[in-house]
Amino acid sequence: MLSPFVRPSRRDFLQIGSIPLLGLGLSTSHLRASSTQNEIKAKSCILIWLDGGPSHLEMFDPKPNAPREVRGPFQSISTSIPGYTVSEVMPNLARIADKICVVRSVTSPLGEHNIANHYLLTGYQPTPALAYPSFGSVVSHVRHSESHLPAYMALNEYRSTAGAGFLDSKHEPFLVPRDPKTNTLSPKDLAFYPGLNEARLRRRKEFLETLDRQERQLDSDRSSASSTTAIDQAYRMTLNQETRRAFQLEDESPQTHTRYGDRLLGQCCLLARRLVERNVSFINIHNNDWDTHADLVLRLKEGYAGAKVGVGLIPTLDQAVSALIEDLEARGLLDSTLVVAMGEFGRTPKINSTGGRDHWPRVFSVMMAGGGLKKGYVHGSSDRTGESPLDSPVTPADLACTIYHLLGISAETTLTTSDGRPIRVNQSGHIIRELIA
Amino acid sequence: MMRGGLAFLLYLWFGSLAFASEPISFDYEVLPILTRAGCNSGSCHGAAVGRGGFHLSLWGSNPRDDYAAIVREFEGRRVDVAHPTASLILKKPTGAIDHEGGAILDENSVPWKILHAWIEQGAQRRRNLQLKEIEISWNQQILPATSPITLPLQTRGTLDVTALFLSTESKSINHLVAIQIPDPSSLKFDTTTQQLSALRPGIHTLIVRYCDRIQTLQILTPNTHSPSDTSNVTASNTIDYWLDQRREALRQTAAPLAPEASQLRRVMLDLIGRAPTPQELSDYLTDSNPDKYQINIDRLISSPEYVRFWTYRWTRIFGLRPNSNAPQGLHSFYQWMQAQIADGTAWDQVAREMITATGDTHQQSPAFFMLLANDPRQQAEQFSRWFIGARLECANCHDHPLDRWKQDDYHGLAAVFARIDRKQMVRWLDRGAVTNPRTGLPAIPQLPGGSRFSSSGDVRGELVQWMLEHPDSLFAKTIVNRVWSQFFGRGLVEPVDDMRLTNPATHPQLLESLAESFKSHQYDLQYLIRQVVLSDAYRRQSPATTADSRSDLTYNFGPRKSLPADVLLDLIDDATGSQLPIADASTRDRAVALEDPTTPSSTLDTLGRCVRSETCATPSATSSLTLMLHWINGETLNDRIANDKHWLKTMLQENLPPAEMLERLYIRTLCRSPNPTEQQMFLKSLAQESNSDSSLIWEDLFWALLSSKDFLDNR
Repeated sequence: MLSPFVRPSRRDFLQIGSIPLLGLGLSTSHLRASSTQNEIKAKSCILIWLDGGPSHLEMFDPKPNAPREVRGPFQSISTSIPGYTVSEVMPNLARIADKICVVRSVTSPLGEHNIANHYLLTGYQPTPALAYPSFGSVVSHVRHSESHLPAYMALNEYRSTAGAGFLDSKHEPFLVPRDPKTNTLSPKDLAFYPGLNEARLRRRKEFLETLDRQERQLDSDRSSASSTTAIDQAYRMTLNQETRRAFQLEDESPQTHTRYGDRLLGQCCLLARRLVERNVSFINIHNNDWDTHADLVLRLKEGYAGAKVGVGLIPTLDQAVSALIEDLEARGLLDSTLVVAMGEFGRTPKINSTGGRDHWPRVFSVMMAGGGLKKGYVHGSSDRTGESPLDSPVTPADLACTIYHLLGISAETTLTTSDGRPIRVNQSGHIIRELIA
Repeated sequence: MMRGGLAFLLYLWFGSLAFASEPISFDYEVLPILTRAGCNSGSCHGAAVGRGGFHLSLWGSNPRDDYAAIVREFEGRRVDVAHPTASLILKKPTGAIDHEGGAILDENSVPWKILHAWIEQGAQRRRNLQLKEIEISWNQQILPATSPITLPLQTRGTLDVTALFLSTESKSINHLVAIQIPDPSSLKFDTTTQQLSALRPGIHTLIVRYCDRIQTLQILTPNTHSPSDTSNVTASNTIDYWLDQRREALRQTAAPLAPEASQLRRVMLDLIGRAPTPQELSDYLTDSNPDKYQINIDRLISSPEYVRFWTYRWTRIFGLRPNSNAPQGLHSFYQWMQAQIADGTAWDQVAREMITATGDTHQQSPAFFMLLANDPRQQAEQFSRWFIGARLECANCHDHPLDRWKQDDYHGLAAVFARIDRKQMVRWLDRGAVTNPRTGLPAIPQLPGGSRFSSSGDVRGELVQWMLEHPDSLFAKTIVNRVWSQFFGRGLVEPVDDMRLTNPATHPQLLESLAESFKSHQYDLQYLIRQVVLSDAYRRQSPATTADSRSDLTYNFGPRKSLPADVLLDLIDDATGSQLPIADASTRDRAVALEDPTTPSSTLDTLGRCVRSETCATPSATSSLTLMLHWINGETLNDRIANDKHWLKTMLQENLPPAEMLERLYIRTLCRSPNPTEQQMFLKSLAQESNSDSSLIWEDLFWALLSSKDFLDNR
């Protein structure tokens, strides 16, 4: 159904446990969050989603002393954390390791893409009964946004599991897609339709407001002044230079562009930083092609056959993410911005016959930085061949619980499904205290 | 007040005496206390995985397991018969030791004393009592099962609940029942005085829960100031009869009938999925026949457009979508459904043929219906939603918390559909099973409610028989309610497929009566539809917003609804005279004529067409902001307005006087003339911009008309 002029309803906050039974779980209002707001360490979060499952062995958890078929094609190098080594393909992240956290002992039972990415993106193992909301949608639901931009934005594309799940569709991310013609990011329909201009849009707005005057009057009588309708937000985003400026990467200096890299992921990270500066709460960057069943060297390092300078997945990530972290830090934003880079699982310890690695959820690595985390800390480890966690195993639910905690959202916060089931933001996870500064 | 307080004190006195002497029943006292305190709710220990290592069945539905969990598990620390006060079950809820759920019972309160006495007596589970029924009294009068309570504002009434046991013993259980008020803004119940009061006028619901018994009370709170004004009530139709009755009880007033043009637009959008053309509109308005509304409905229902639109509606309700096992199946099923609508086949027959279908899905037949579910469980859920008005999916993992359905019902029904071979050739197999997670064994096929099938082999015929005849099956009501919701934008029961004791209809007698007449007219859909569209209720003026329409539980106004994406696109195309394709690679056709709802169409995606396979209650994952930006700057609307071959540009060639052009634009989009305010606004704008190209101003007005609520809503 089209409901073009929906006004985002005021979020109701109910306290848990006031009157135990009256109305509990039977609320007819579908979207009530009873929330215990914690201290917000991370005002914003940038999730760099490495879709397909990045290899822990070629990145944050190399095994230089393992047999060749486990060790893989790359050497390892030392980092700015004494005693911690990473793959040689990410020299920049090695250099700034003292600014980040690495969890090397994430473990999950799910080794198929769709169910695994649901687990990592929502903190819930999937069930056929319910689609759970992802981090960004929960943040959008729980928080009062102060930005003139949407609270949850997705860059490039996003998995449906990174969507609103059982929450209202207004908590779906606002997508800034890739323009396939130019391979750049451009928000759809933000620029004027050809022939339309500010004067004409204002005229259209005036005509429409005259036509809808009764509804508008009713709307403004009924709800608080702070909430705006979607069309008002759309007018504002179209008419407001400042909004459009958020997406104008050409405003950045050539040095900055060089630092982030000109490939799509670099642009995504640069745009994400600009959005954080404009108080967007959650940004999901979708980075494709990490499902490397074959040709590790070509896919992860070189990018194309015979490349002198690697432009594959890892160098691209290394450049963009290290630039992002350093840039955020230089601007004094890193402490209030959580950066997470992860995919749905790791890769098999043994290289397969086509020179790739297959799905491996039993142990894999996740990189995090900023937003109230320790700096230069490596949590947990995997065994000799990167097959299982050796100590401090962490589940995706723990990871989710920790991310929510840093965002100031308690696991106890209750969401309500459309049929009245109370669902906690996080069910079985524990905060990984060691990560927190 | 004094008397109530005194009675309560006396009750406490005698009550607590009774606890010490009489044996406390685990099933009938201990568990209800836990339910009342919320211990076994879905967000606490009643969650499927329990809470803090302690799991209870949801709302105490399984006393045997709960007894084991409380008395045996955790090394017996939850109850300590030797030192009752050391029992965790007493210390936790009082907050004496750390409890995540907080302090929910006061030490030495009545419930605490009952729990304490039960432990002191040895924490037994005696099975000497058996509950016959619960009886509800309203101000000391026993309340007949289905009758509503009238409760004016600023008055109070006393609600008492008594349990009758088979042993002929009866007992006040006021302190043991859980009273739930689904909408806390409607009613207030004071658990110490048993007094109920209303917070606002309207139709309210209150649920009384005790053990496995649930009773739902409907509370009517009339408007205080305005006495019912019956000047707009002229009803002859059954629908109006029941609606008027309730409206009078609530002392509310009905809106007058909508203007003729609005009635015509509304009924055409609902029956054939499009608005009247300017010609149709003027023909209708100038027709002086007093029966023209009814005559027009007959004409619409017998048109091919009706067949197309209702084929669209039903195939969308059933979530028709392609299946790679049978590439031609979708088309064959669509054709079959179209034939049923065209022939006016009785709806019990349509349902029977779909549910019992076998054979080649590539022939025109309902066989493809079996492929609309991915697996037997999903098929059981679909069957119960579409045909018996039950949402069974809760019962996949636990007994339905708010309804009578058990886990065995769910898996017993799934076991029936497990025998179906979902391929191009649909066959009944003699093997195939689903596991019942409760037992860990293959589920035994059974009818919902527990009876076994009397036949062997393909038992679906027997299932259909049950569906049509058994009182637990709400087939006729389910279909009636769904059809009602297509016209009124909400069901008499809402959600439409969630009929249960705890979710009563706003107008139970009306639903009953419509279902009866639907049955007695051989499940004739056209008969049902005629009844609805001929009612005054349907023809009244609509309220200011669609939200108002949904919350207008007394039907004081006519319906007002948002349009589905497909209908909306057709409406825009009709208004703009668009020749643009609606799907990404399609021949020119109407959106409601697309057999396959997944036909790629970025336009329909942006407009928020229904893409989920379930019930289409949820639109596609387009945020409303994305849609609004598209509305302003995107090509869907702008291309259609600005195209030289389309209506506006062609019309502007004729250089009509502005007032006449304005009239035409309004009639074309809103089926009405501009009012003076609008006329003034526009002509002023035209005069101010006399230097610029006036066609741009017309374009801007056209855009605004196509974006206005009056255009976008069916009202």
